Amino acid sequence: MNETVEYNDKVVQQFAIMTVVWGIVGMLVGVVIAAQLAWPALNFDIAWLTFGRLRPLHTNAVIFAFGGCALFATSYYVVQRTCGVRLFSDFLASLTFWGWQTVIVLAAITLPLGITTSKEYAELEWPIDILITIIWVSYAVVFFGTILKRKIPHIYVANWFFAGFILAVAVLHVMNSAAMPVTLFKSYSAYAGVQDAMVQWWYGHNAVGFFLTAGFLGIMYYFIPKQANRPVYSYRLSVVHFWALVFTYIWAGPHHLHYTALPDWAQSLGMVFSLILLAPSWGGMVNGIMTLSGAWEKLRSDPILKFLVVSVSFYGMSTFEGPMMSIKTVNALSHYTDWTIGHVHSGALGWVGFISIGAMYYLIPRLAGRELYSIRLANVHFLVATIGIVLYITAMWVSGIMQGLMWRAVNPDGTLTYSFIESVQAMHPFYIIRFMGGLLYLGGMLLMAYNLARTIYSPAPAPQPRAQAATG
Amino acid sequence: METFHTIWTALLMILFILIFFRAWSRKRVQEYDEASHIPLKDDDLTSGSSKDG
Repeated sequence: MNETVEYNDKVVQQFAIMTVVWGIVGMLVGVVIAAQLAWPALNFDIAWLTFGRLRPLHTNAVIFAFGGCALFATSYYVVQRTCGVRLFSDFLASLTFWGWQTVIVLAAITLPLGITTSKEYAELEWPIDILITIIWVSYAVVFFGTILKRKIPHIYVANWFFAGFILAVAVLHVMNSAAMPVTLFKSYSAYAGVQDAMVQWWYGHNAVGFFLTAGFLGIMYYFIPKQANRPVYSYRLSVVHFWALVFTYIWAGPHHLHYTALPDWAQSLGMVFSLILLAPSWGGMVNGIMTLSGAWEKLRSDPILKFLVVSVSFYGMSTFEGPMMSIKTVNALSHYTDWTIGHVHSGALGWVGFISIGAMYYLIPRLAGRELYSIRLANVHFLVATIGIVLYITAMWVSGIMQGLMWRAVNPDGTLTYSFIESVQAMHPFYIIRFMGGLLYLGGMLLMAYNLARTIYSPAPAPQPRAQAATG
Repeated sequence: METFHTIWTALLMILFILIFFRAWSRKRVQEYDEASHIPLKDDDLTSGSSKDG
């Protein structure tokens, strides 16, 4: 039905390649700071190499550079094919690519220099925030403009998730970045005290909910059916999944502020909505996995499906763990410990990382008009990365729970059983295991880069009739 | 203001319930079945183009 449509795949390809590049950069910084936690001398006493400077660089690089480029690439690819039209504006699409890369480079310069708002996941200073707003509005115009001129009447569910992600991130970014500039490199938040904390974690949690969840669910609802060559298990469940998620997620932020100055009712509200979130999250997970119903054998041989389906399993695991950790009594143990880091990385490496990797293995060879250079290497990547995640998250779970238990242990006379430094010493072996897990995951990304580079630079296949190509 | 927030929250909840029943309505079965096949209909190996954007 789409034979006459010439899609704008140049911008998709650009974002897809930069997904791999920024993934390697962001994860390399992650491995460096993991090593610094195990061996602090590795900061070499250079201010801009210290953990405090590099940690926001790592989070910004993996979330907004790696994850962001994956979302731009996939949403542009999906919206064109499910609407049967070319992107609304090639110029604006190109602007989003070059603008987003500029934001990433500016982040990579300013964050190590210590130029920061100090708001987690929103560290970039006001001039960069304005640039982000311009790019995001352009992105929205391209995406919604393409939806508006669609030739297929029904808006496929993946586009609803992408649309929700684009709209919510726009609102979150503008609200949380409201600030009074003092100099070019310094501003102060428009909010103060606990209101500032509440707005920040309304933003912070919904950055997870909409940037790292809704957008990637858009990827899930297109690429799993596509790769499995089966329709989504339950389309009506996918519709309910979307609306339940967007109605619920926006309330869950206060669980980041348990046992703080935030009013107790707001903390409890955040906890309750976090628990409610379990239902749509698991509904979506079941929907994603069951799409393979009747085609499970493909999992034995198809590395792309392995990445996609295991990512959905990690989605289920982390969306079970998150609500549990939001329960105030559980949070009393887990908060401020490495358990949180383990939880975040089961979502980040397992869910976001794997579904992005699966999508890139799908996209890049197709866009280059080539077969993937090595299926075997992709399988090795899957194995290495999975072992890396398991090492990482189990180390952080054990370390975090141990940390929490050591901090709260008291002697019969009421004094603390352990000093803080004793808990740090006890965590050291787990920091080394975490470093090794991260190193394996990064190694997998390097294998992917090699495999995809060989794919792109392999000789072009001989021309063949269209009917034959369509079956390939 | 609190009354407004209460009414707004209740309206949103009712809206969600309506969406739920709409999604589960038998009238939507055929529409959703066709919609679920949208990704499978595009032949991206043949219809995609790397033409400069």
